[in-house]
Order: sequence, then C-alpha cells, then structure tokens
Amino acid sequence: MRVRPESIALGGLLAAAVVFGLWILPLDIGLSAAGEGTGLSPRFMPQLAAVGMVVALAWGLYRSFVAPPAAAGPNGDREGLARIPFGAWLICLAFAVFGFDLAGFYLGGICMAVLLTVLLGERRPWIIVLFPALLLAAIYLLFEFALNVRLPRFGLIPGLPI
Amino acid sequence: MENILEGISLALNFNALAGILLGIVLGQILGSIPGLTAAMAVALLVPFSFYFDPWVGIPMMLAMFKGSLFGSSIPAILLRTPGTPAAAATVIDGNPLARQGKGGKAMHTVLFASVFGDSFSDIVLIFGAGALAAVAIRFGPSEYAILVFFALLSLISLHRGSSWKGIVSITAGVLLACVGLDPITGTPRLTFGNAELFDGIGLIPMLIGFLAISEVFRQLEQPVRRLGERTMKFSSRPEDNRLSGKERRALLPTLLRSSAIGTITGALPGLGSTVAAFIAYNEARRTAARPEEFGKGSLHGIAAPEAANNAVGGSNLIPLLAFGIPGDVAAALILGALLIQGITPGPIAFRDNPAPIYAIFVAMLLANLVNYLVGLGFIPLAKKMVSVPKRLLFPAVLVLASAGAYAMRGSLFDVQLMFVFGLVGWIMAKYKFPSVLLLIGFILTPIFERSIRQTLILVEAADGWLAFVASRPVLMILLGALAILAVVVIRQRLKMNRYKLPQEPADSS
Repeated sequence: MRVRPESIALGGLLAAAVVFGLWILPLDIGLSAAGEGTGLSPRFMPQLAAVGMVVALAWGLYRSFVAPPAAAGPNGDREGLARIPFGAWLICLAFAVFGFDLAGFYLGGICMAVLLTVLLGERRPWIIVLFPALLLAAIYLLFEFALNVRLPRFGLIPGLPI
Repeated sequence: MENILEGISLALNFNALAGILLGIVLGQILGSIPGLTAAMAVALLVPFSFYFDPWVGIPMMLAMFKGSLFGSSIPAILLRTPGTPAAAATVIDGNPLARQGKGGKAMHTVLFASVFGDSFSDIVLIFGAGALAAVAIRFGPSEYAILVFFALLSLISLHRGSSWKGIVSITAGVLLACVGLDPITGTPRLTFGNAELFDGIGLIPMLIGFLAISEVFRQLEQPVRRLGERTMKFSSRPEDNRLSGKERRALLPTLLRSSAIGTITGALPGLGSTVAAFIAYNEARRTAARPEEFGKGSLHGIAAPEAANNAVGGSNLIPLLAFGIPGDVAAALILGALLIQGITPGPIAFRDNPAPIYAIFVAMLLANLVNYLVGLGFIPLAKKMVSVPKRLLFPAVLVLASAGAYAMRGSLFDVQLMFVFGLVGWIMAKYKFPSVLLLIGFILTPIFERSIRQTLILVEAADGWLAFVASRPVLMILLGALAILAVVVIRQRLKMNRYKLPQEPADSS
C-alpha cells in the first residue's frame, strides 16, 4: 500500500501536536499555588485547545486514509511552495528582520519595493525606480504629516529626515 | 431617548461625516481594484483608523466596508474577476450585460441593489440587536460560554470544507490567543521567555497577515499579467448607462426577497455572504417570470445576489452588537476596530453606555446614503480603476502593510509576525484550512476563556454540574434552544451543499 504525502504530513503534524500538548505546554506554563484548580489553572485553555487539535488531526489522518485522492487540476497537482510568492515572502521577511532596522523604513521600503517589482516581472527601468520612490513618498507624507507617526530611520547618518 | 439623541449627535458631526465620506471613497476605490478583496482592503486600513478620533475611525471603518462591497462587484462585471467571493454570483449576469455594452446599467443595478440590501438589514439590525441585548443582559458566564461554544461549533459545521480542518484552524487561533500573561493568575503562557510576547500577539499583525499578506501570496501563484489590458466597450446610448424608474420598480420584489434572505443568513454565524448571494440568485431565478433570461444579462440576476450579499453585512453585526460575538470576518474586523478604539460591544454596552451603539446605527444608515451618492459619481471612473497591474499593486500592498503593522505598537517584531502569519495563511489557503476561523477563534478566546473558567469555579462551589444547571433556568433554555438550532443549522448545511458554489479561497467561510 502506498502512503499518500498528505498522510505523512498529517502524521507529522499530529506527532508535533501531541509533543506540544504533553511536553512543551507543561514545560512552558508553570503552575502557581493559586492556579492548581481546574478553573484557575493557566494551562486549562491551551490544554483544551491542544486536545481539540490532536483529535481533529487524528480525524484528518483517518480521512486521508479512507477518502479517495483529490483529482489533479488541469496542470496537475501543484504541491509545495511556488517560487514567486515564496521569493516575495523571503524578501519581505529579510527586510522585516534586518532591512528596516539597518536602513530605516523609507530607504529599506524603497529597496524592498524595487526588489518585489522586479521579481514580479516589471522590466521598465523608469517604473522600477519611480514607482517605489512615489510609493514611499506617499507613505512618508501619510505617516509623518497626516498621522504624526515616526517610522524607523536610517541610523548611520544622524539628522537625515528618512 | 437622551441616549438616542446623543448617539445621533455623535454620528452627525462634521468629523464623523468626513470619516464616512473618506471610508466610502477609499472602500470603493480599493474594492474595485482586481486582487484587493474587500476584507483585505479593510484589514490594511484598520491600523490607520486608530489614529483618528473614535467617532471618525469607527464610521470610517463601517463606511469602508460598505464602499468596498460595492467596489468589489465592478471587476466582477467588467473583468469577470470578483473582488470578493461574495460577488461571484454577480458575474453570472453582470458580465454578459456588460458585454452587450450595458456595463453602465449593470453597475447602476449593482449600486441600487447594494444600497437597498444594506439599508434593509441595517434597519433589522437597529430593531433586532437591542431586543437581543435585553435578553443577553441576563446571561452569566456559563450562558456566555455556551453561546461562544455554539458560535464556534456552527462556524465549523458551516465551513464549506472538511470539518476537521475547521477545528484545527479554530484551535490554532485559541492557542495563539493564549500567548501572553494568563488573565486570571498572571502566569506567562507560551511566551518561551520572549518579552515581546508578554503582551500577547497583536490583533493587527494577525488580521493583516492572514487576510491581506496571505491573499497577495496566493494571487502571486497565478501568472502575473496586466489585467487592465482587456477592454470593455461601453454603449453611448443613455438608456444603456442608467437604471430607469420603471426598471427600479420592477426590481423591488426581487430586492425585498433577496434582502430578507441575506438578512436571515447574516444573522446566523458562519453562513456568510457568498452563500446568501447564491441562495438569493437561485430563488430569483426560480420565481422569475422569464427564467430563461438568467445567465444572459438579467437585471434580476444582478440585483438578487447584490442585495443579499450586502444585507449580510448589516445583520452579521446583530450577534456582534448584542452579544459581542462576531459571526464572520467582516464582523471580526469591525470588532477589532471597536476594541482598538476602546469600545467593547455587547449587552453591557447597550445597558450602560448605549449612545455609541446608536451612533453606529446612524453612521451605518448615513454611510448607505453616501455610498449611493459617491457610487453614482464613481461608476464613470470604474473603467480606469480595474486596470491597475498586479506587479505594482502587490509591492505597494506589502510595503504599506509593513508600515501599518509597525505603526500600531512601534514594533518591528509585529512586522515580522505579520509576514510569518502571511506565510502561514497562504499555506493554510493552499491546503484549504479556513484562516478566517483561526482569526475568529483568536478573537473569541478571551471571552470564552474568561466565561468557561468562571463557570468552572462556580461549578466547583456548587453541588456539581446538575445542581448548577438546574439552578439556572436561562442556561437550561439556552441549552435547549441551541440544541434545536444546531439541528436546523446542520440540516441547512446539508441543503447548502446542493448549491454549486464556484472555487474560491478557503477564507470565504
């Protein structure tokens, strides 16, 4: 019998949920003397949710064995993460973790918008340069003047307004 | 009476009116851009509403929803690309009519039906929510726990996919809501020593991540092309670009029936506007004098789904305002905006501070009027709005979303969380896990946890469960009523499965 990839994925998720409920949850949430009654326990709600998730995943695993396989679409099954959205996500996360901190929101935002525009297929140089600049100028006006909110600045040159 | 007058004065001041106007204009523009769903557009704008006075921000949010629902029907008609799943039924007759050169007439029909359905359900909301809140004021923690549990249960049972996926989504939302300090004992939960998580996970990164970012990633999977290059010819004859008085009168029975269908559907948690639109469309075709015109550009075929899906918008606020429980993603977003502004809807608000609730009612009715007037001017611009290329739209959405997520708490951690949730939401959509249920689970957990833990403490003090239930007649009535309602809802789900719904994102439940 050939085991379907979705059954393997669900089995992995189920195992992770069990480990989370039985091991990680009690390890992370300590019980104070006041919190030992069922109604007072800080573990009550997370444990209830973990039990619900384990039951649902077990049900899903069972369904994956008994249900007929889903029909493939016109282009066949498109499993896995697609290249363009995953690339876009990596660019966004890189700026959220490092870029905005190092270059400030406005310079970082321009770089992020340029990279995303190119990734999405734009090839006209004036659009690639002008569009992010206009976008960030609009955000600058909106946040700094209309909403009076200060977004992160480029820290290496003190006094720079962006 | 004094509270009603105070509510009217709150909603009728210049700033609130400006908020309504701004919300309608933004909603119609964003909603009409292919690729920006109504929920996605509003999720992006929720953080900005915080910077306004509550009586600018809240009317603006409500108006934005109404405007975006109308706007999202425009690409459905002109490009066969519904801006929101609820507009999918509008495509069936809207696009054929537009292909006959009568795009103007189709858009005028949509506008008229949208405002009619919206106003109908708002009036029902005004009378229905107060009456329900008067009952809800007698509810204790156990009644609330049952009510929230039922809302979650019905959302799972009515989700149009596997129920187990619904449960996984809701429990994931509950777990995410548990992150932070325990509300009763103050013990850190699921923070893993990270101080940024002690305040819990912010609602804004969750909403933007799951609704807007994941939707961008989902749409990026399609081949990126310029949608605006497909042109639609418009007839120059005036009668093809407007809706006559005779046509409006002929539509009235369809509009009334469809608005009633939408209002009833919206008051039940989980059914949603897509279901209402298709039920209303089928009902209009079934009762039509000339059913053979349906699918070929029938005005009734456009008006029925539009009136129904807009009517859902008002009536799904009934459980939100009466009990503080959102029934779908639109209500969840509005609840998020209300909480951000420091307003907690529910029976206590009706009893102790009803003026803001009346102000919301007045703002909703006013927004309908403004939606109609602005819509009349917006229709000629619609052709241009549907031609924004996605390769520019999506980078703009991602950068703007980053700014919005940062601005709320001044934390880059929130921006990182937003993108992580965006990835999770995208993967969930790929595998048909309803991320809207995760969001509703997240939003309802604080009230559910507080109620259920208080109930457990009360039961421990009483002589067991049976004695506790027997001592609370309201709880017994509620349990019986909910059992009956559960049977009705499950039967309705079985009936609903007979309707052929189009493929749509998992979020539309």
